Amino acid sequence: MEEAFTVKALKCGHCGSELPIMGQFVTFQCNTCFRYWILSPGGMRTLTVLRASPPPRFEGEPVLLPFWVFGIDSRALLEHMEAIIGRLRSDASIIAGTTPEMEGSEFESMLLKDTALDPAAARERFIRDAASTRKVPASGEIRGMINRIGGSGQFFIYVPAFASPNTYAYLKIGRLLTGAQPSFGIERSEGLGHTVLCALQADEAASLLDYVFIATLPQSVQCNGDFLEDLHVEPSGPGRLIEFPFERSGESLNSLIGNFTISNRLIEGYGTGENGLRHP
Amino acid sequence: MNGDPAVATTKKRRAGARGVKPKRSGDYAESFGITCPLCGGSLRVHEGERSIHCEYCDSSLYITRPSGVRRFTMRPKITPGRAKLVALHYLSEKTGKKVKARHASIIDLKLIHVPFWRMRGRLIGWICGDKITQEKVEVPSQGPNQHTIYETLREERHPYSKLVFKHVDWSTPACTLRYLGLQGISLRTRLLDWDLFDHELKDGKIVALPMKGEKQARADAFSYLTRLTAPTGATVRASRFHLFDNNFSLYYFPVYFLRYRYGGIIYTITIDGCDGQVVRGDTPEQGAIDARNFFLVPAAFAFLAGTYLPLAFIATAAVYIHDMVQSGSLLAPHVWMAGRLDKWFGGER
Repeated sequence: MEEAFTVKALKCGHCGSELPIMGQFVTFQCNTCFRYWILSPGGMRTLTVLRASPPPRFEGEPVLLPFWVFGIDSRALLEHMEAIIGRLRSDASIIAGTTPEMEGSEFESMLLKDTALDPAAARERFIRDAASTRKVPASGEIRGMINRIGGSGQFFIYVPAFASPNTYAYLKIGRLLTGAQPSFGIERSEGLGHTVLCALQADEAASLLDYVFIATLPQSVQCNGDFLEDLHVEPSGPGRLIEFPFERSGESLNSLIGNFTISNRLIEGYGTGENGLRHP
Repeated sequence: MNGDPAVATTKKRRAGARGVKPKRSGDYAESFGITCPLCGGSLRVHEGERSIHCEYCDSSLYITRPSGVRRFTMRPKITPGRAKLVALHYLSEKTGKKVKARHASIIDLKLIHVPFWRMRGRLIGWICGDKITQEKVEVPSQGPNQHTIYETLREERHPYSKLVFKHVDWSTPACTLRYLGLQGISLRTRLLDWDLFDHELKDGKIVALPMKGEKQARADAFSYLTRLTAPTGATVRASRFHLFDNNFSLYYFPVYFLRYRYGGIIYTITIDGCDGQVVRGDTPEQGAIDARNFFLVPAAFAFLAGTYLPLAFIATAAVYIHDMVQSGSLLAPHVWMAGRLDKWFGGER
């Protein structure tokens, strides 16, 4: 029989204790040695869970939502974008600078479709349209992207790792936190009973990087297919699982780090219980 | 004959598995059979579950899904007897209770496992292009009579972009079985329990072989998803999709294939092995005599015979071969001829 699923005993790789059942979630905490484990394609691996510190002014118990955070080398990303823009400019200038000799019979066959057109005017219009199809982002758009990414250092992309009934929430919340590029203190998450409800593996989260980044770009750039088709965001290192604090406010959750508000219906498992999240 | 729209009524069910619907919390649609590695107990794991409890040895287990195509099959949920009953009921209903069990003789009933490619998972994507709008505009004539105003259509292109993130459940037949009439099976709308396809047991089953490769099926799926996500009347300039929780598998779905003889002609009915619904059925034509046949058939025969006599026999042989290929069986020429003449000139039974 072929192997469609691999089924193994769920035990702590360190002390051998049985780990709790987590249903659809991929993170586990050992009740004996308090170590975190994550289910990855190769099996169980140890995991370091970090927690963003809420601002000092905040008092009370925050709701903690996990995110995979990937650092991107800003300089490498900008160079990659420059290379794409340079290629687009080159393609557009080649089309704009074509001569009737270069076009050969292709242009003539297009003229045959509309014989009423003045050939010279038709050619000019055709060249203009063709050149504009290789659209280069406007200089204002390019400046905006450079400001957003920053000239040096690291740019962070935040991929939500919690379970959501509305899958668009991953893009929406990821875009909000990535767009904010917040500064925050960080500490290690430890201790019994602090369950991390992470539903996304690190490699799955890495595959969402391009899309979260695209979602943060202005609409005019998002419409530029030529530019975005070749754009790929490469993380400079492995992703880190960080829990971010949110404050309950009726039906909403206010981000204490990114300064935005989301509906609690976007997060599966939200309700009563420790951390404001219902345990599976 | 079978498949001939002139003499058979046909019901086809179209694919229902092509839509995209978000999964709600706890809404596990399906389960898959696994074996506990510690005690050997048979367990069922629901879609999306990563860790479960063994109900036999009380141990905790985790599940990983290796990459690559997996194969699943399902036991039929209805018995052959029930399938036969459904078919006869369908036959009686479609012929206005004129053809019943005692009129039609059932030749055979086979359980066939039909392969389907199925793509499931969460899709993330980005798509951009142009939305094309057309509006009527009034333009003054360019000719000598410039006071004339005429209407023309002006086409405008507006760039758009869209980010997509949704659950996907798409399926397509992996083989072409024209007689079964299967164009797609609505897999996502039902609670189905799948088991791993056991190659060792396939000798005891009738299993249709997949003719469409994985690469082609994937290309079809992404092409469909691109069309699905693009707004109506828009062109797609660039798109990028990524499927995670990637589950691209072959599902062998059980269907019953029943053949029966009526009036010397063989007809077929296909029944869904899961819910017992008729997927496709050929029934003898009902209704009054078609007066056109009394003129058209002899006229065609006379024309062919008058042009070149052997042509009439060649045409008859061609119709015979066509009917045999359609029905998937071989009838004696005189039996076939009697049936054909009855169809053309016999009228209501």
